[in-house]
Amino acid sequence: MAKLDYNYISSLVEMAQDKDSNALAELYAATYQLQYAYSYHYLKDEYLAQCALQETYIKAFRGINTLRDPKLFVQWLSQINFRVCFGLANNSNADYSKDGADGPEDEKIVIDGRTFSIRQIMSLPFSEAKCLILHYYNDMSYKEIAKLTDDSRSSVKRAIKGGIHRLFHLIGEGGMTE
Amino acid sequence: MTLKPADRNTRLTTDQAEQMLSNIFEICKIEPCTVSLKTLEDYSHYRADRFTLRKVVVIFILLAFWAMPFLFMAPELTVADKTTDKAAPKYEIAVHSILPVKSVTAEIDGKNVPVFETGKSVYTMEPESSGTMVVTATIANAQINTVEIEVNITPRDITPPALDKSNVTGGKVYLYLSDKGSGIDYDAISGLDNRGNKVSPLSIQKKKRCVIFPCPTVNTAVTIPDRTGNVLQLTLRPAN
Repeated sequence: MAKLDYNYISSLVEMAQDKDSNALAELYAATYQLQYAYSYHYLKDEYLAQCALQETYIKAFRGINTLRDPKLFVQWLSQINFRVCFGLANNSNADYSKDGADGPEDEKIVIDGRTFSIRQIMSLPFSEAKCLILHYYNDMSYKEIAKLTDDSRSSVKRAIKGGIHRLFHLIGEGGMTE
Repeated sequence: MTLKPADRNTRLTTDQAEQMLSNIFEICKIEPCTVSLKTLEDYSHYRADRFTLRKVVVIFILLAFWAMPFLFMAPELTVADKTTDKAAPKYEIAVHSILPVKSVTAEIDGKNVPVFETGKSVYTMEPESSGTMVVTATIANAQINTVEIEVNITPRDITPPALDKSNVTGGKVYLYLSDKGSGIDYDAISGLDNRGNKVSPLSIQKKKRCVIFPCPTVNTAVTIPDRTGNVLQLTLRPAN
């Protein structure tokens, strides 16, 4: 897929925040194929993926004024998409449009012999949290995650390693349970 | 949950996407956009490609501007006269240019003069005839420069002095000489009789080009050189 002009995207977000529906449509045009590919790879079902996609954009359009930095729109949208797919995969109806909202995030994941909640994992940087959940919760291989996120295997591996390292540091601060 | 490997069909059709967008606007209670999704995708303003193309075009233009002077840059030529023998002149041409030298040629009155590369961008030529020698240097961008050198070759003197006339008067031999080349070396005129005795001229009259010897009593060899070493040999015989 073609590289995006993030400065132009940023200007579209600012117009969309001023209720410009053409700007919203152009943001959709710029990103829907990538988000759909992600949803499809995650959910492995085209109808579920379409549901996820629609849900993602509904939440994004409704919450676009909460986005503080317009340049982070694509990343923000990916986070919403991830949470929607995660929720759909877990048959959850929780609302994930705002950061920090409750979700099926009390489920536990075992990583290298230690148990963490999804909530704790989601407190990590998004790229690390996403890769950890996809690998340890969804049992996806590095290759599958790389394909899903349109990234390299080494980047996925680096994100997982970095995420584990950060999680284990949190144990020392008393923020983890075993 | 273990997921199965995905298949390759991971794109929505434009119609599906358009319908979805319409649903999203309706659910969000947003006024629908006035431009179709297909038009927005064709416009593709959100793609970074065109800016990359612009950068490439700008870089190309800048390179062309930078390279432009080199297209019209002509070489500079400096001439050094390395002649040591006037009969065999020698000239050295240095070509000054950032670009490589393609060729250097020389000719006098339409006749080619051989050019030898004797150093980095330094060329030597030894013309063999007098005239105006035109040296032309061409560099890689096909720009040329020429320089003209007046060549005057002094032919080597290979002709010995000549005896114009002689007479004997009052016991003296008068030798009248001439030389068309470098001139007679009067100081070196000498004689040697067949007994091995040196015979010197009695007198030398340079204005008249006349050398006077005593009448010989025995055969006497007279040597008359010019300034380039050519020699006229005469034998004076005694009158019987």
